[in-house]
Amino acid sequence: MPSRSPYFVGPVVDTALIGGLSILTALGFWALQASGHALPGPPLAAGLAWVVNWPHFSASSYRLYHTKANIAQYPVTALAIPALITMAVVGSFFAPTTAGAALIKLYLLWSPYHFSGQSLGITLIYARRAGLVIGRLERYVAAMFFFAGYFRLVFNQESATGVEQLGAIGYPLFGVPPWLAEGALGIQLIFGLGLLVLLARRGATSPIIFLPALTQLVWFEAGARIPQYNWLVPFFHSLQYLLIAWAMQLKERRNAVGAAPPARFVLRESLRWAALNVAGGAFLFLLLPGAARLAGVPAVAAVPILFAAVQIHHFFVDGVIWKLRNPRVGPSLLVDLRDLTAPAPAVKGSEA
Amino acid sequence: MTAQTAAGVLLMLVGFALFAIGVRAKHPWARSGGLIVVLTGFFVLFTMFLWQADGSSAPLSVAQLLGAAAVFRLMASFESAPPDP
Repeated sequence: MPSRSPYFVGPVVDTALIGGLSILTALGFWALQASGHALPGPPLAAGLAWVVNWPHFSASSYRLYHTKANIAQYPVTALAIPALITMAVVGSFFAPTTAGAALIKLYLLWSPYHFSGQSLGITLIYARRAGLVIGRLERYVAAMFFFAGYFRLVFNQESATGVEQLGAIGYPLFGVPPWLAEGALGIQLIFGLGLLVLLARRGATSPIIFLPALTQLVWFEAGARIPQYNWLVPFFHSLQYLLIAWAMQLKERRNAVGAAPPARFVLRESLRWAALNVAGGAFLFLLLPGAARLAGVPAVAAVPILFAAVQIHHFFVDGVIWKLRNPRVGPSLLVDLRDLTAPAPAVKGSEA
Repeated sequence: MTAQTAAGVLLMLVGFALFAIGVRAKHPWARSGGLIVVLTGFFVLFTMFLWQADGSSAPLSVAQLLGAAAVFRLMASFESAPPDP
């Protein structure tokens, strides 16, 4: 039996999607900004949202809701959280300057926290794929590194004062003391060094294990300095997500349908899943706001409030369905393309 | 303390109590339900104090931000898959 690859697809694809592309883009934007060229952040982000960002939200909803078994596994997340968020949305429509502003502020604070959690998870996945034994200490130090990066970012952003807007809805900046961001940076550096030492002692040699950490540093630091680049960070986060979710989807479908021709199965299932998620993304980000407008909610309030609500729902769902300790999740994330195109396993059921 | 503030604090306390009971009794519904109540109470307080956290009071601004981060952390233990039979 061949030894397990540390990559889901291969070194080029994994490196590009997990962070290589975003780092190269940051370098390109930095060079363009330094030379005084116009940068295409917002139009590029808007165009890519259709095919990557929105489908990534749909992919997590699809994963949770596409079978009764999944819903039964996480009933509170699947049923109670949408009800709670719907109440918050309705309240926000009635009181956009208070509840609406709070919902949007909460989403804006939660989003980079969610990015940090994903970066941590991907680091642990690649470490596991590379055969490293990650103990509690390594996990703790890695978490401290990623979440210190989160605090560095938000303390920095929130050290300003004033009012910003998402659509027509204003929300305040908190004006926290600026030294908090410096303190978080110090903590991040200490735990970053600690993580390097611990992973080296565990025998980590594959660069992909370190890539999520470097990538998050670039997202947060370059994003803070190059506003046009900051528009693209959610796209890069979504790319990471889609690689992992795609591999997981193929693994589950392969187990469910068994003996499909390998290469054709991967292509057909990938296209089916992509089409479903593009449609799901359009539902979440076009049809839902459209329905709210039909119900009489002004677009300038409906769009940002629903945008925040869909994202908060996604943060909840992702925090629950991707726990590596779950025996249905962790082992499946060791799959790679070679497994999927190898002779099919016996049919195990109809999980997916 | 206004009635809304008191309601937010009360909701959070009740939610934490439910959550603690759920953890001790290994009762997933009580744990998740408790966290929903905590989140609801937090949202009430977060909304109440949002526009006051404008930098004029550093402790309030820091409390809003750290409170939000603590809630995000808490929501990571929101619901776990039941063990396989």
